[in-house]
This record gives sequence, structure tokens and C-alpha cells, in this order.
Amino acid sequence: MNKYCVSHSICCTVQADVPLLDKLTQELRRGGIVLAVLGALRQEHYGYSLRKALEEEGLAVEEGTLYPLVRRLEQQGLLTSEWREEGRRKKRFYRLSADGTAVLAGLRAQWRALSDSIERITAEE
Amino acid sequence: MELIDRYLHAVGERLEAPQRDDVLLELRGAIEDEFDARSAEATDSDTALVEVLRAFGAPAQVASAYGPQRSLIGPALYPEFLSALRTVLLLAMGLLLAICLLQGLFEAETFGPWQLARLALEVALWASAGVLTVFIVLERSAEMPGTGEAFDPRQLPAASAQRINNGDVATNFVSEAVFLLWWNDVLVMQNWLPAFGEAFPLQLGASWSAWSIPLNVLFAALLLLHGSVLLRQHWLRWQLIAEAVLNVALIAIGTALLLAPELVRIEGAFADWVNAERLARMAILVVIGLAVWDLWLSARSWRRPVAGQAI
Repeated sequence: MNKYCVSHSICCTVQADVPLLDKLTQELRRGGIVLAVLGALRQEHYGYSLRKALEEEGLAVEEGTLYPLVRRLEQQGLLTSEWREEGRRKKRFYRLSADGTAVLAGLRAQWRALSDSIERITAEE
Repeated sequence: MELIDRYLHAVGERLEAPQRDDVLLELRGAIEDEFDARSAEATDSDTALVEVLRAFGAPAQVASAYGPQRSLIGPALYPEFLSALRTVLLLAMGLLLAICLLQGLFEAETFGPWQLARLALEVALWASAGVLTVFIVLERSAEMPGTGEAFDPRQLPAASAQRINNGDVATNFVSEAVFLLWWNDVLVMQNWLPAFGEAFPLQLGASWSAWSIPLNVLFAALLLLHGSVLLRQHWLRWQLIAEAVLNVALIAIGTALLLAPELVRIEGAFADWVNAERLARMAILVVIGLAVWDLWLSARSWRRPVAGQAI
């Protein structure tokens, strides 16, 4: 595996066993996952079904990342939840709250603006 | 499924009570859903379960993702902690020095080097423990003094201020404190090894008597200067000038002493095989050399360009 060494300062912040590209990709995805989760939860989902829905759209999110994130978003008031029984199992179903809907609209606008800018800046001539 | 119970038990041990049951119930459902999906494709269900649990992550990792990020002293408070620790340690050492000097001058109490070092270490440890405890309490109570205030660029040090080398300045500070104690007969070297008390009676010669007060003033000034520099963590312009002037004075006094007759007297069994006079002059030469080095460093800091300007 190639080790990308852009500058000394970047190399120093990257653990030797994690390739730089993976690390940067992870950072790039972090904010996007929140947006994707909020978007997907315009429809009601429980944890596993949400993960599958994201995966089907090409966004695989690790279990250890997704479940705590959903819970945190709920604590922040962006999601509502209720326990229901489905298939003989109790499941917690999440849905976007009114606050979450407003935040999602704001984040989508920011995302589009950011994406357009990045696209223009990084476009190959 | 016993493995799921063990996994959830390990996660639950690390979660706080109010959310524990809720999180564990949800996690169990999620793990079982994932396991159902994966075991439908896998031949060995035990291996499939291990893979599912691995995908969720180690229990400590999962629990920390659900809880608030906790540190003994977090990044928001850490710079304040370092600054407070430095200030308290300096004040504690200054106070210890003052008490020892007063006890020595008014009650004729003396200390051996080991005794003094142990005392200084004890004071430093208690002071550090106190600061650490206060900041741990602040961290736990989520109080962040100073961090909520807007950053004010006008409070930044002057562009000419130079960041100090803590090791150099702290070494100077300690050496000056030790000298002051020794010079005023509070720190008695003969107490180092009690057996030497009688056999190694080193006495300063008459040439020193004229320098008693000037050396006290000079070293007290150096001590205060280095203490203030350690507190501020920067060399300001006036401090560099003071450092240069005081080092020139030290070099002058050292040279005068080198030219003076009889610096030390030694009696007893050691007098025959230790050339104490020569040793004393060599020691003074070393001190002069260190003063010249400090003088050079202050001159170099003075000439250093302002950050961001062309070199």
C-alpha cells in the first residue's frame, strides 16, 4: 500500500497503519452521514432497516457508527422515536421531528452550495 | 446467543444508569437483526455472530460512542491547566524559598541539600495535586473558565516577544534559588554527607566579603526576572535588556573574584590533596562561561525577526 506523504504535518497526524486516503475519506464522510441519516428518516425506520436503506443507496455505514449517531440525533431533538413490536421483537422506530425537518432543509442547502463550490474548485480543465 | 448476552453485559458495565436499559434493548434488537440477515447466508452461525459483534465494535468503543466524551482534563481546559500549574508551582517554590531564607536569617536554621530537595519535591507534589484536583472538578462540572469568552487579539503578546525555552529558564531559576540559600548560609553543603562535616570544612576566603550584598542583589534580581519570564512564557524586550545587563554584572563580579587572592580555605585531612583554590577558580570560570552564553542568547533573541516577515 502506498503511503501518501503530502507534508510532514499531515504525516504526523496519520497513524502509520491507516493509509492517508482512507483517513481523509473518513473525515469527508463524517458530516455527510448525518445529512444522509436525517434524509432517510423522513420515512420511519428502525436501526437495521435504516442501515439497509442507506446501504441500498450506496452509503454503507458501520453499525458502531450508525446506532449511537441516531440516538444522539434523537437526544438533540432532531428525531422522534417510539418502541413497537415487529416480528416478535421490540424495535425502536425513528422519524424526523419538526426541528429535524428544518435542520435537514438548512443542511441540504449548505451541502449543495459546498458541493458546487468544491466541484468548481477541483474540476479538471 | 450467550455471546450476545456477554457482549451486552460488557457494554452495559460501561454505560451510565439512566440510559443503560434503553440502549441495551435497542442494541440487542439491532444485533439480532444483523445476525438474522448474516446467518441466512453463512454456513456457520457461530462465526456469523462473531462477525456481527466485531462489526459493532469492542464494548468499550461502543459504550464510549453512546456516552459523552469524557477526559480527566479535556482539550478545552488543558491550556488553562498548564498555565495554572506553572503559576502555582512557581509561587509555591518562591514561597518556599522565602520561608527558608527567613528561617535561616532570623532563626539560624540550616538545611542540607537532600533535605531541601525533598522539601521542594513535597511542596511541588502537593501544589500539583491541588491544581489537578481543581481542574478535574471543573472538567466534571463542565465549567470552562475563559473558554466561552470571545478571543481578544489585543491581549496577545507583542510581536517582538520571544517564546522561552522552559528548560533553560527553569534551570536558571533553580540555580539562582539554590545560590541564594547557600550564600546566606541557609543551605549548608556540609550537611550533604554528615560524616564530612568535620573532615571537609570548606570556608570562603576574605575576598568574598565585599561581594556579599551585591551578589545577593544580583541573584535576587535574576531570580525575579526568570520567575516572571517563566510565568509569562515570553521574553519581552525589556526583559532581554535586563537579562543582558544582569549577566554583564555577573561576568564583572566573576572576573573581579578571579583576580582576587585566596578565594577558599580548606583545613583538615583533605587540605593536602585537594587544591581547593584551583577548583574554586575553575567553578567561577564555569559560571562566567554560562553568563556569557546567556548574554549571547539574549542578544540572539533580540535580533530574531518578527514572525511572518521575510528572513
